[in-house]
Amino acid sequence: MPRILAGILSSLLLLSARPAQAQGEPSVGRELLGNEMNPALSIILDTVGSYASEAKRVPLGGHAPTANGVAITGAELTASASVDTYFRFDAAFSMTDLELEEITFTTLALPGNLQVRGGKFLARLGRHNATHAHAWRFVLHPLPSQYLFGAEGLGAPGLEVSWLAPLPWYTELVGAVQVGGRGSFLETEGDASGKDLVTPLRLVQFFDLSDDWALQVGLNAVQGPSALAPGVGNRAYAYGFDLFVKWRPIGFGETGYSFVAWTTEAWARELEAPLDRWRDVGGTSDLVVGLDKRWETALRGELWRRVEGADPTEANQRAAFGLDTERGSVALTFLPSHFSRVRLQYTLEHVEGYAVNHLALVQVEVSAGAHGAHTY
Amino acid sequence: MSLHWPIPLLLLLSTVVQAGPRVVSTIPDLGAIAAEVGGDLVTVTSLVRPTQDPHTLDARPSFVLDLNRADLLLVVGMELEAGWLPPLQVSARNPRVQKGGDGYLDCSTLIPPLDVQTADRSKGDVHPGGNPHYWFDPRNGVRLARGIAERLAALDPGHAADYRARADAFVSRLEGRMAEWQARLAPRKGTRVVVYHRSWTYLLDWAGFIEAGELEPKPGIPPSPDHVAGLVTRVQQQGIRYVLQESYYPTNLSKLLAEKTGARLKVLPTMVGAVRTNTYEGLIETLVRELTD
Repeated sequence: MPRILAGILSSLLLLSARPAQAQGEPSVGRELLGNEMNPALSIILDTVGSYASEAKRVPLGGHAPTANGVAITGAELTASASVDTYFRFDAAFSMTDLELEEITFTTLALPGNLQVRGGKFLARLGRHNATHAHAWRFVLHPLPSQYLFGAEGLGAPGLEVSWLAPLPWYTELVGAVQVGGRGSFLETEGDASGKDLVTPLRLVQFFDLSDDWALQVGLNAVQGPSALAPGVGNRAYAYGFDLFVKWRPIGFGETGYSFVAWTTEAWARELEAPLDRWRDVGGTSDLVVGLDKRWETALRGELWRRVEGADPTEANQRAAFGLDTERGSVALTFLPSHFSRVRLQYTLEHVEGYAVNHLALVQVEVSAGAHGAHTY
Repeated sequence: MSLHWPIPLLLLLSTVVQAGPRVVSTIPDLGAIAAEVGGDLVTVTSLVRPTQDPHTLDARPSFVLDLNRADLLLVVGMELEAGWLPPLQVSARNPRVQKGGDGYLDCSTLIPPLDVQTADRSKGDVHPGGNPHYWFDPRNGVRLARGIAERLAALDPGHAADYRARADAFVSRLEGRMAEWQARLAPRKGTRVVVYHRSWTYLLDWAGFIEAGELEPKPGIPPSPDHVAGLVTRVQQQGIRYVLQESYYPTNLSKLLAEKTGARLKVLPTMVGAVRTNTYEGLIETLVRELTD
């Protein structure tokens, strides 16, 4: 037996002694610092200067200034790394709110085209909810998203399972159970029971129309305990449709940076309230035009309508869950490099019960650290 | 409704019965070399279109399908694809093509890097691992062919000899062409050029040309009129012959520089599949022709 062990050990030693360098790499060793396995870190800072014509206004949502002047609207620390062959780790920590916005593991090697993500995460609902502020084309979070899923987006601890269908075109089905929600859905802490779970579901398909054109469509549904009197079994439901069309010419001699992208999200919501049932519809549509590598401009319209249920009163709190709203915005963004941007935005906002509000915003965003990657 | 089932079923079966490794390359040049080495034994798909800027590709979800079904992913590395490839790899649900997987080949590990720099973004969008545009040097084409052949041989040992034989044939042909190209370039050695972005460092190193300036003030930062005005004097004083530019960058300032100085603007193909370039040899031939024109 000792001889066998010695043989195995010597084989292992021989294996470890084999040169690991690929062809062309230097043949000399390299001193290790000890931090080579650390996650890739990045810090993103958003500073916004704002002016609103009306002091009394509807709250503007996550990562938005709350008063005229200058504010730090976001300072996010992100970390990501491969855990091992089977898992990936990602985290986003808000240094302004001192809160983990997301912290997840993601499987890399499950069979059957399945993938599981666990931890705390933003639900994949529509194109906006799962995004962080640095991926937005505007300074402000859309109000319909805020009415539906809260100022910071629908995010909570949970488990998500997604399946990539074995079809010739991209089709992905995503389902999750999350302990608690935001916005229309009850925020729970800790001792949630089965009826308290929020269950988002999304089917997304992508079509390569040509090298220049692409189309993505998504169907979304989410249900869970209503934020209003859940103790008596009130529920909330939201159903949505999203559409994304992008044109980016790539012919020889094109600049390759010009593009036009159109995104639309439309939602219908049913929210059970004490002795009432509120039904609403709303959505967001934006058109982003990339002028060249450094400049882009964008136009956005937002709409929310109460369809059924009692009018808002102080007693029923309906105002917090969505007032009739029309909002239009135009933005101009300058990108000095991949790691910084300066954005100007004007927004005209009309929310029932409030005077027409004119908003002017200037945003400076900088990112330091690892080179971030963008999803489509 | 049941009539709709046979089509996806057939498509599923077609993927099951497909033989040989499925190779996905980020840029078509790596794919072209893999096709030379793999021949009919492999299928090759490239994600970047030949006229696109590989730094800023849109991470189309359809690429997830390519990576999901891939046996081998060839990447340029040196962070060229850092802005779009990682989320695709994660979504692919394919352990082979993750970093460290047996189907993941960072081709920058096959070549001797140039322009290795300290990581400091105040110097622009630098690549600390080295300049990633190494495929323009045909000597690296040889190294890539050998390295890709070895990885294919490891993935598909039953055809290892075939891959190595094809790599030998490709290298032999390429080395023959390299001698011819060098003969054509010899009278032009020492030619000074201005480039838009430092994409041509390896090509110029192999060709014996001298890079005398860049339109970009720093890597990834678009040129400003002031910076270009400063270049005008340098081009005139040093007798710089060419302004070399990739097809996906705007030409307004490089045209202006050429007009003001008499240098010739060359908008060059950057990848196999662009204008007049259907093979890796064809790409190098086009570049040599442009440099000796």
